[in-house]
Amino acid sequence: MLKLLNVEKQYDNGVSALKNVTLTVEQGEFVYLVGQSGAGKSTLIKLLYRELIPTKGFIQINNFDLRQMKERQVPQLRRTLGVVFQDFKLLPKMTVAENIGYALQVIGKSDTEIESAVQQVLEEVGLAEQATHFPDELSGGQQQRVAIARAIVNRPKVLIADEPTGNLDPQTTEGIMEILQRINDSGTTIIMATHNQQIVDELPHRVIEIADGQIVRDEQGGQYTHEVDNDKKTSAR
Amino acid sequence: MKWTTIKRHLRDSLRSLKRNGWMAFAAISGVAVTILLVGISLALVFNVTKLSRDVENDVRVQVLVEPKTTAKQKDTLKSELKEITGVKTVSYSSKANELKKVVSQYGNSFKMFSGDDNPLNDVFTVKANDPKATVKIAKKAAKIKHVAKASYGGDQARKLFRTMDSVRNWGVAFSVLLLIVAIFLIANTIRITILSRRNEIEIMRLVGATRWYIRWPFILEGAWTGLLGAIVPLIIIDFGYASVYRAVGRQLATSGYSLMTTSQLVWPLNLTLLLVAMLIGAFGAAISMRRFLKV
Repeated sequence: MLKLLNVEKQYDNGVSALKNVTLTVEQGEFVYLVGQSGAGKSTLIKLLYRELIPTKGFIQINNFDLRQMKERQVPQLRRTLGVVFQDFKLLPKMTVAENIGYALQVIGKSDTEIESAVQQVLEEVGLAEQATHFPDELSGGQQQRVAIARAIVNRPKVLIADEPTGNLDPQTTEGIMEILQRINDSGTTIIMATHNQQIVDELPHRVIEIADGQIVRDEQGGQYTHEVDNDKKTSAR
Repeated sequence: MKWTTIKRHLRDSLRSLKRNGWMAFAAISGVAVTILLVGISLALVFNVTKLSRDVENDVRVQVLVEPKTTAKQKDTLKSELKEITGVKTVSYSSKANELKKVVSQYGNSFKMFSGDDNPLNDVFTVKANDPKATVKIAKKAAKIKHVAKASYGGDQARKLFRTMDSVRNWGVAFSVLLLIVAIFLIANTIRITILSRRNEIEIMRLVGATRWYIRWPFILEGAWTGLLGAIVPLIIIDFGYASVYRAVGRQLATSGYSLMTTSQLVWPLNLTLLLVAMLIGAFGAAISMRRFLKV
């Protein structure tokens, strides 16, 4: 499903963002990527949807070899992925329905197919009423739900989310996590980078912690912080 | 490309033009100003070219016949003139006829010279196949019997040719320069509008749109910008030219020359400029978005 083998990423300015990362994620898993800012989470996420190309190593997602693939194959890869960001990245001049439909337009679906798929996915994220609104007429939580709807409208096998709740209040965050959980329950793999301790602790899944460009922890059903760290904190008090 | 995709691109490009209101307006105004300048200078060049051709074609040798030449001698003279190499036509005008022309141009006071007081000569007007042969023809004609004088405007004609040539060349150079300026101006304006939409392009790439799928609506939008930008200046030029033609055309007509008629100028100019504006708009968009499509 998703395989990384000895992946390294060094930026042009010489900064080494990821070192020797090896990782396998199976279909249907829900994975949290945690770690401090600058640890390399976003670099890893960008490698996954091929916004960046690894300096060394091997990455395979949905049977695409990301290091060997040609530039013109990138759109094909991205059609098998859904990507969600902290800042939503919606097209401001398009309505909610058009934003979501765009992902289907580019793969050549007919208007009627698009209409019914968009309607369905809008219901899934609870925004059926807002179809004709523009993004700036919606709250942050609603915008993120539109972004999620766009990411899942062509039923990708993998949903990649980079701090999807980073800009949202706790209550809205809860709603977003419910949606993501439902998507995961339907069989979609979810890889989510987050800083939100509460989410990770209350909705336990596999936790991969990155520090200084390396995987330092890979724990099924783990907590946001390592238990040893927690013990230290407790004893320090 | 599938028909639905083409329809979609057309629809998207028009919609985006509408929704990007102010940016589109800025780009369209930029196009309008340059197309107005290019249009005016092209109208000038076209007309200078036509006038200079008119003048060139109009250069002729005036062969003045000696007084008291008999009709028979005049016939011989005419056929001799026709035999000179490079001569196209030879036409005769009696001195009475010449006086009529003078009267019509300068007024009735010249009527006092009519009849035996007429100081003018009978005239053969000789036209050359090639205007540049005029000088040689005049020299040869001057040597024929019963010819009082053969004049072609001499240095004046040569000067006129030179002036017309340089006016035309400078006019063309100026238009080309303006067109280059127009390309830069339009491309830059579109560049700014696209710069403000780089996020849009990023998102399109993110959901798996191919480069050409992203490019087409922008290119079409550029073409619409060019088209819309060209309409107002073209209307101004069309109406403006019509009134210039009415005003200047009449004055010129008395001297035997004419501007291009409105219909002669307006249609080719409109079509050329519309096409140029659309192409520049489309190219400008394509060039401006190139770097945003790189990974």
